[in-house]
Amino acid sequence: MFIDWILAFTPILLILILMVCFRWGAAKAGPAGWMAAVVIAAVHFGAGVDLLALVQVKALLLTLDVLLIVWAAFLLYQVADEAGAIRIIGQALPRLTADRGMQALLIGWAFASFLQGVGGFGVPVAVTAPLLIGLGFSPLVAVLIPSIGHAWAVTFGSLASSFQALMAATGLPGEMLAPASAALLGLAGFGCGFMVAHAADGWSAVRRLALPVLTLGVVMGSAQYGLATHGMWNIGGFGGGMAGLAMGILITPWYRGERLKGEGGKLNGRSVFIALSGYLALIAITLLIQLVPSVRAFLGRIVIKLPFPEMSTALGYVTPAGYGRVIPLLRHAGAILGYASLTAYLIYSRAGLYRPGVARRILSGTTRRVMSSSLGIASMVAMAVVMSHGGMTDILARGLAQAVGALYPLASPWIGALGAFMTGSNTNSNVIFAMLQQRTAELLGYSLPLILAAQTTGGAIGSVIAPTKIVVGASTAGMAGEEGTVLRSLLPYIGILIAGVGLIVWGCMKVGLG
Amino acid sequence: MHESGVGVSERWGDREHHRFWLQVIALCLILLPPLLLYATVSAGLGWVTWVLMAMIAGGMVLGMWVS
Repeated sequence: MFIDWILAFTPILLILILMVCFRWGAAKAGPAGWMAAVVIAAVHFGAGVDLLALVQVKALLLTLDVLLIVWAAFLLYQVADEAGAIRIIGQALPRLTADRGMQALLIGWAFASFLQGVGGFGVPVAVTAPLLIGLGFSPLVAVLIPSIGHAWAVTFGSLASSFQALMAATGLPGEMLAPASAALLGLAGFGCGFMVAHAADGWSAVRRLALPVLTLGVVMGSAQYGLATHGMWNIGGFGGGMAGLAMGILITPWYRGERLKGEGGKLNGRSVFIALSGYLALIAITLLIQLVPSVRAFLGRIVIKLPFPEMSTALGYVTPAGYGRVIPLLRHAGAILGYASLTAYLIYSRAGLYRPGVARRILSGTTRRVMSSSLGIASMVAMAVVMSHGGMTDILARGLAQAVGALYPLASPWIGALGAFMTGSNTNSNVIFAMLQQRTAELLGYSLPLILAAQTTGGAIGSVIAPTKIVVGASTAGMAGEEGTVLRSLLPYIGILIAGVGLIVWGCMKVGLG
Repeated sequence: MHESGVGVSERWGDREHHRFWLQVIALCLILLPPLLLYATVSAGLGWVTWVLMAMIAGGMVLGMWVS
């Protein structure tokens, strides 16, 4: 049994060692993990060639489900970035207040969450750290603030690609998973807010800014929860960040600080509105598709849907017959993002924000940026599906259930965080560990939505300290080579956040919630 | 010196260009064979299944090497 568990864990351990010790990227380590999983599944767990072949077809559907969103999310970001929209919004925000704590909340929490909602992939830290340095924050603090600030928005950010991966990996509907995930992430958001205030200006800022933190936390968390639980999870993080920005702008008059009194700090409302219009188009299109039944039905006509037979290994592990991931092609979150990208492109073009040759730059920029992550996602999804159909995930889950037992809810977010730390992404963590967490929760009789919420919340928070994100953050703040310092400074904040999430989940189980 | 610098920059650009296209090929090798695998398994074409699985493995190796 122990040998089975060690062999089942080997592909994950291999990825962990390659990414953490040898600093391989996901695109390089993922294929190695896939090969290890295929060999072990075939040689030790009795997976035949037909099973492994059908598993690749299932993996293709899951990969497409996630990649469509990743590609389209980056396309929308490139469309806005080429128009200078991100720069315009970023430059407008610091003019609202001179209070350091409030600047940190507005830029490093609300704006970073908004950026995570629309782009992700390290964009929040890369865009906001230089802004914060320009406002007088030290490079280290300028990296810490947005790193902590956007953590709560990762799962429903990047147009919910991580949540899509959670649904794809577990086969559970979004309606079942969204409430617990959005609630847990919303609660984590308060922790992020207080920690941003602390990182910016110490305990005095935490006390002074408790009211704006609570206000923004309620607004952002509620907006994300409302959108995610009404089928609009793809704009959950984005809507939360946008609501936070709007509320932040409303409450800054009470926290302007000394320097700006009497100076006004006027914003060019028209240019900010045009910059935001691409994202407003996304909201409008999403609402149209979600709320107008005829549009929804029309776009739901083309569906990719494949039935799979029952599959079993030589050792007797059986996967029941059923459909693989169902993809409504024209109503998919990736398609919605595609429509929004086209609309945003037309708006920015009409406003004269583009230089000649922009279409080529947008397309080449998007394809170049997504290629590595696509390879990483494709290989890791295939590895995770091989492991689940070969019975390896089941063995891992049984071992974990026996070892941790009643304390599993406390450990659950740490598993998600470990996955994100080693793969650099909440999406990859969900792909690798969601099935394991699901199976373990089933064996122990815990609430699936709550344990999977702990998985994705841990993954969201843990992704902040992934080496790849640390490198991006440090390099944009001029701290290249000092990644260890950034990691050491982030660890206490992130550790407290994950432990807090574990305690909340454990408490919920104790009182019978979920 | 200037010409040499430009040359180095161009060669680096070429390398990135080649790397990108090799990644595209690797991704195609991983994602396209499964489209046929469903049919070959259903039809019991064992040797074609092996060839397609080998193509996926080749895509994985290429992806690893080029990344």
